[in-house]
Amino acid sequence: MSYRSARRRASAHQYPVYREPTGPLLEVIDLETHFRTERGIVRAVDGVSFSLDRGRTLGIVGESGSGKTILSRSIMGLLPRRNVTRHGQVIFQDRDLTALSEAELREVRGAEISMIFQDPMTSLNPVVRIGRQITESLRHHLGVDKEEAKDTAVGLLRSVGIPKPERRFDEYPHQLSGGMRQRVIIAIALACGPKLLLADEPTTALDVTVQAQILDLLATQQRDRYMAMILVTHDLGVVAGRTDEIAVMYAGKIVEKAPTTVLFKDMKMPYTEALVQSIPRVTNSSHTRLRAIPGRPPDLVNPIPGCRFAPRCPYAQERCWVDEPPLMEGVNPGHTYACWFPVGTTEGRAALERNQQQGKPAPPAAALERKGA
Amino acid sequence: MARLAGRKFLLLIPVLLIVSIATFLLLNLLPGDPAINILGLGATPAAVHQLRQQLHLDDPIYLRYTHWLWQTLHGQLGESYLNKEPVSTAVRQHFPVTLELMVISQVIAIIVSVPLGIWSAYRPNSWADRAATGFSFAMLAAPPYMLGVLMVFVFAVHWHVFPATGYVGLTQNPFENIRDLFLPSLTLALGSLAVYVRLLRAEMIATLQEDYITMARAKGMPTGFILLRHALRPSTFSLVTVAGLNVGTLIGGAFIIEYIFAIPGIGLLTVNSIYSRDYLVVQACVLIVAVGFVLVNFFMDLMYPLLDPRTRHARSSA
Repeated sequence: MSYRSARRRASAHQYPVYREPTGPLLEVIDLETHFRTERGIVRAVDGVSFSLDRGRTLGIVGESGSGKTILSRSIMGLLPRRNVTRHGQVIFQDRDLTALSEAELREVRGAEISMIFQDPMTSLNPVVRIGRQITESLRHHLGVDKEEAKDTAVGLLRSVGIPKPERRFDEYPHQLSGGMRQRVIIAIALACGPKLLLADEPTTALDVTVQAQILDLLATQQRDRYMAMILVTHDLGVVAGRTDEIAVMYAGKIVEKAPTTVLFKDMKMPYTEALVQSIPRVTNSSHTRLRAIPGRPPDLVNPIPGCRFAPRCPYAQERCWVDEPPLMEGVNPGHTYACWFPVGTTEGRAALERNQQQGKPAPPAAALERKGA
Repeated sequence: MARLAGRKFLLLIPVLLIVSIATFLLLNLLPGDPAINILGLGATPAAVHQLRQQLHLDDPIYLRYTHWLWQTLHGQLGESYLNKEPVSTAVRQHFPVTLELMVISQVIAIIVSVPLGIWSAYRPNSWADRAATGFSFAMLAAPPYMLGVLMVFVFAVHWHVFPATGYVGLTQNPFENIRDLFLPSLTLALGSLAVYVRLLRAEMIATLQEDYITMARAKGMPTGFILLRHALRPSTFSLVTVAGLNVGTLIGGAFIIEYIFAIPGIGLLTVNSIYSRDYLVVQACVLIVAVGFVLVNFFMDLMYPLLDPRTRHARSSA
């Protein structure tokens, strides 16, 4: 069969049903994922809500341990059953995924929601040929025969930029470089034409030159397939130009969410500010000290009362230690944040000043600039 | 792949030489004079001297070794002191029986241990896993002679489903043959089985934590498919190693079990020859068992590239 007809047939599978967009594709409502451990209950995801429309991209950003990976696995129901409790709803195309049985979920996974994992070196089965790792989900979900699955897989490998896809089809993962493996993983994730792609730190394990290529590839595929994507990362730089909306997670909660341009222009949450500050800039003179966020991510077993970022926050006031701020609406549409003394407001500036006079931790440079302005 | 096998085979030659030297020395370092043993304590010095000449016992040891090796390589294992029968005939009669016993026992062990190991790993700490664990430890703790006697008591004496002793050749009556060998094979299998279950369970639990298993689940693949087609093969690497090394234990077990069930295998032949000081037979038996052990492990070595493509290149496995 020619390559062209293989592609035609492949694309026929990639868009099984085209539905007119009605309402959000994915709606996560008050999702909680708690782990029972010997130390107590770890509140890895603690009441997260957001929604995502078809074809849009949401970036979820946070430090290690902020719960972002657990969030993406909770959405797919990929966490072990033992010692894990999940509350809330994950509504995907009008169906609550948390209410589905394991067998029903399996029909959604891989077919309608796919996932890309962080480490391409460990995410492919070392003893299974690349071809079969792609075709098995095609054959399982779409019921295509061996030949057709192979044609589709070779087409997919080609479309994710793998040279000589016919030869790669019969190779094993160890014969490919890290970047190539991540391309294979993307091909696997795209195989059945999912409507939603969860990319969990898809470029963290890759070197910088390859990172951009993989992110560009994801963006192209997403546009071509009108697929929604959740891009989970610790790196604000990664999501900056590639997402429609960004949610910042801290200690299992979303602390700020806004359309990407709004977030970078008008961030309200001191944690977001600190994250932005921690990105090294090319324009900085060399040997500029990296701005790390002081302190450590909070203990998820015994969360402190009040705002969980308070111990590390240069703006924190007494109120922050007592009252937990709810998500409040910002000036811009779609902007919510959880902070009593938001960055760039009169209250925020006053709070920062007070702290400085009392010799509390030095604030990020940007805060000083904004204060002076 | 073929080149790799060739290289490994070349490495086998020195190993086999060492094995043959060890076997030869083992029996030559035993106290006592074989000539006196053959002729009896009342033999005249002249007769002893003559027999020593005949058996080349007065030659230097390296000459005797090379002579023996040369003869052995040509299939000339000498004659039994006892009945003047060629040793090679005795070995040829007894060896296949032991081989069959060991093969059947390993087939039983693998058929039972693989599903048990997979299930234990898939549902650790479930009642099935606990039962398998308890059973394994009991089997590991029980010596084969005790299990053998227990088997005979339950299946032969109590239920009369299998014979307690006896052996019919495979070519004479295959059904009878399997019936005769079932109890001894099962007894022999129980020890290996326990080890395999524990090993596969541990490896598989580790494999199931791997990212590629989560990935397979994220693809929506059914659980059975993931366990068998994704998790099983990467979990068998140490099983293969241990199964190869286990052949040693198995040989020891076979000696005992053949004795209990009166199976005319190489074990029974060896034991009887030791009692009757039939040195050449013992020597041949020890040699063939040792060579068999080395060869089995050589083939197990060749299995790795089949199981794990990462070891398929001569470079990475050297």
